[in-house]
Amino acid sequence: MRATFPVSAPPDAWAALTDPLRLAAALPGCRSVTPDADGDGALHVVTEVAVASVRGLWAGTVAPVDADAVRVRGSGAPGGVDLVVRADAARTMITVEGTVDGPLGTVGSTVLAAALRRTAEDLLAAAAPASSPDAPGQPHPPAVAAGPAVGATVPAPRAVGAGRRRVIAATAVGAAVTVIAAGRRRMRRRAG
Amino acid sequence: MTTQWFGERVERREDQRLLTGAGRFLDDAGHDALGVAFVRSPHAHARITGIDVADALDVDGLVAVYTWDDLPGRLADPLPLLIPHPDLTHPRTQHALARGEVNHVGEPVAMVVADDRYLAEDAADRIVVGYEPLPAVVGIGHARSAEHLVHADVPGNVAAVTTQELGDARAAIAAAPHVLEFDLAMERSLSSPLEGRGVHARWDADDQRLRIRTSTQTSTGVRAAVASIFGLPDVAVEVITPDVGGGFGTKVVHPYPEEVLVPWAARTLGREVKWVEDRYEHFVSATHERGQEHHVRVGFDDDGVILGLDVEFWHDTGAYTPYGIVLPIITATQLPGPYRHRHYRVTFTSLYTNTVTCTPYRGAGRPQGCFVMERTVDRIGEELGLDRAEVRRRNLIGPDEFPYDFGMVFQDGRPLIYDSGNYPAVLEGVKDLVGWDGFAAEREAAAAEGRRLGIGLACYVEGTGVGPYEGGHVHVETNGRVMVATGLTSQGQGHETVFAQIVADELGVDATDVYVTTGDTRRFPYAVGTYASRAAVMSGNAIALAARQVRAKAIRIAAEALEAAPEDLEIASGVVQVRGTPSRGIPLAQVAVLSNPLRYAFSKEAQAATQFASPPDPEVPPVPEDDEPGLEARDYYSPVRSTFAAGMHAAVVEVDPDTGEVDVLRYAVVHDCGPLINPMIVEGQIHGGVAQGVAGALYERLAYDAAGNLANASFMDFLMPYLSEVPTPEIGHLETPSPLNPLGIKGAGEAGVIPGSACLAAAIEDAAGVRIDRMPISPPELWALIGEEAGT
Repeated sequence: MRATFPVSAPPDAWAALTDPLRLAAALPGCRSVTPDADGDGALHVVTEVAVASVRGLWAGTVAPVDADAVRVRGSGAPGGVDLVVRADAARTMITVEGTVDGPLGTVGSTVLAAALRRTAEDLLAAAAPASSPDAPGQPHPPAVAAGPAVGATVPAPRAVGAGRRRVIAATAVGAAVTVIAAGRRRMRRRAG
Repeated sequence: MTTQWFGERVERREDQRLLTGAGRFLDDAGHDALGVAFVRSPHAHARITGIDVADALDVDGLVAVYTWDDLPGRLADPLPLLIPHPDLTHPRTQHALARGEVNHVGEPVAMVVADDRYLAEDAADRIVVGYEPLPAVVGIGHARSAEHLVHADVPGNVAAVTTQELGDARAAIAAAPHVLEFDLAMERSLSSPLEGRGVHARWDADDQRLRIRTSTQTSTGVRAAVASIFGLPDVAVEVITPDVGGGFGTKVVHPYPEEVLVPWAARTLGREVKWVEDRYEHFVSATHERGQEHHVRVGFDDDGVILGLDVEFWHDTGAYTPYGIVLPIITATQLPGPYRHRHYRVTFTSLYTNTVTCTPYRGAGRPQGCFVMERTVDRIGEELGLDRAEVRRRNLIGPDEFPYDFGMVFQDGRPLIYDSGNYPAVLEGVKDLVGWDGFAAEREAAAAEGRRLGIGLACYVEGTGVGPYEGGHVHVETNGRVMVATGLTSQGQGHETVFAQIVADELGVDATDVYVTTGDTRRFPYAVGTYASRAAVMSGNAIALAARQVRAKAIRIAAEALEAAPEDLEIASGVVQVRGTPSRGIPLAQVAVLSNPLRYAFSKEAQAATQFASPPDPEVPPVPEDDEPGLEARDYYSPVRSTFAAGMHAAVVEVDPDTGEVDVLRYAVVHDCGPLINPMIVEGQIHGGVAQGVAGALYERLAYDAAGNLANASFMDFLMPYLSEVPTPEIGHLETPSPLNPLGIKGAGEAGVIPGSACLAAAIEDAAGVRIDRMPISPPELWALIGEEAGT
């Protein structure tokens, strides 16, 4: 599959997503986000996925490819995913390319693309520090914003409210967005 | 005394089921299946710029949305060109889902699958398709002008040009003492069966089999297409046609996009999936027909004898040509009717338009051909001041002129040769039935009361029972039931009854012991389909041949058991017996037991077939060479060419010049389809056909606007006549046998509809005194014509 879509997020949203804790909070249905023990920037994500009538637990990794892209790989009841998620330099466009199989592979490419786009938008919106904690349909941001030690698992609060009526595609795109953001920060740091 | 079933008014076996609500139609299957709705193009011609399904994600119960991009392998290719033809130089067929461009309102763009149809429609409503509209080509005039193109790579919008000629028509016309030249047109309509299309599919993962139910006129056609497109073994695809609420031609198209998409979705999702067409969908996505414009030149002598006929016409094929050029070929080759032609030239152009694709609708090109020929004969009568029936009589092919060879090629690719008929007798019959000769006095008497009456007449010849073949399987079970299967499908014609009648006579059993299955590939995998008035001729003869084999085998086995000579045996009331000695007999059920040598008895009767039951011939194996176990046989009938039925309709109408209203006072039909298997069923076919003919003449039309929108795509706006508008025809039969098939029969399915427009146009013209050269005609149109005539 291949999908390209625009995203818009408050300037701080991308940065906020560098924090696995905030990510876990912002990603609807997320069960855990665990930074890889090697400290290579990869995240292990366990999340509930709901695209159309495909629902279930999904576990995978999100690993940086370069400064602008991550590879998302994993599997679970909803199906297998191997996608490269790439953001443009301006962080206004996201391109997703790769394969999706199992039940997720049967929903149709337009549905997958729309679900990915919505997840990215929801995630960026939820991750923005400016977003109201009480906004309907938005997960609550965690109370503590301190980054955990590498290798520690961040348990995520269960997504509430948003799940049933709205079909939320809590795929790893969210995590991907985070890692992209993290990657850019690291790049900047190195450049600085 | 054996009962004769063939020729009797046997009550329809299927009516008990169909008339008490016990029929099993497509939508009766698959209660728990996922529902499907299609996003269809609202534009006649447009490029698709994007498909946004985001809002559909909010519909709880959405399962999938598919667009062309999702279709794998050959499913992404254009659908099959069903009937290629060398003259079809620019064939185009649609993709199952539109690929970047739509070519008519109603073309499917996206397929939505959800927990049920309601949710699927909710989700479909939320899908936003971006379109960049392109100029729409609507109507034959616009298509001919080629100002805009339907398909950018089809110059002039021309799909095909074909010419056929007998003799030298142009020279004959040039030399004729009288020549007339005029235009005739017929508008587009559609089949509108009460039950629309529908598909239900189930993928059985355990058996690796796809089971498809579809409301089709050809289950084997759907099966072959699906197996081929999906790359599945034929045996892994089962297609079952349940009870079908009418087809009238449109359901012979296959595979419709839905017939590949629904099975594909079922297999992809591992769930039962069902789609049932709604009425709007039927109007904008089931095929149409009839739209043609004709230019006629005819030369004739002082007696009204036709010397040469030159017809050019333009056929509106709609957006695609899956059915090739069969329709205009039928018009071209059936236009000559029952008349002797020495010089006939016909040329047609099949034109693309941005409207629904055209394929056969009951009558299939013949109503147009009949309209052209019969209006032409009426003009000759008018020009010479001759009685219109007399002009016809002078041109009819004589009963001694058969076989009559036109030297042309018919729609089945075989020679156009009329096999038999007695047209002068049909003409005399219909004149008597309608009161032709006494009508002048009737008209005068009515005129004295201020009423305007008119009479019209139209003749047709219909090629029926086209090949290539059909087959039949007849199996006598050990319980005495005779199970019959044929592959073609039923849409309510009464096949279960007439095929049972045929078998009952051939086998000497009661028709109520005969059980007929049609349209189920599990029971009979080789078949063509139900169209072209062919089921009785094709399957009827195939089943008769199979039954004859079963009879021969039954007599052979019984002869051994009874120790009698086979030639001394007969079968009566299901018992094989010595002729004239019913006490020396053996029931067919027991013959069926004996036909299958057993090791294990399954009943007391079956013990007779076991190994120790009777002293065996030690030198002959239990199943001798060249024999098979079981009292059953399979046979096929494949005709060398079509058999030609004929008939004539006559109508008396009253026209109200103040309103343009037309009242059909009398409608007479004399029909010759050879020996009648069941006169009641043939009359039913004629009643229904006349209803559709009257509908096509006075009510039904498809109102496309210039942008290609179908303005009357509902039964609120599309005028289908009720019983109150349809006359009950008086019917006379002639039975001229066909020499081409064992039963001597000809088809009767479409005949009733063919001359409707021609006959009523003639009657209206006669009553109103205005020229009728295009059909259908509505009261406002007739009123306007009468007004113009009065004004001049």
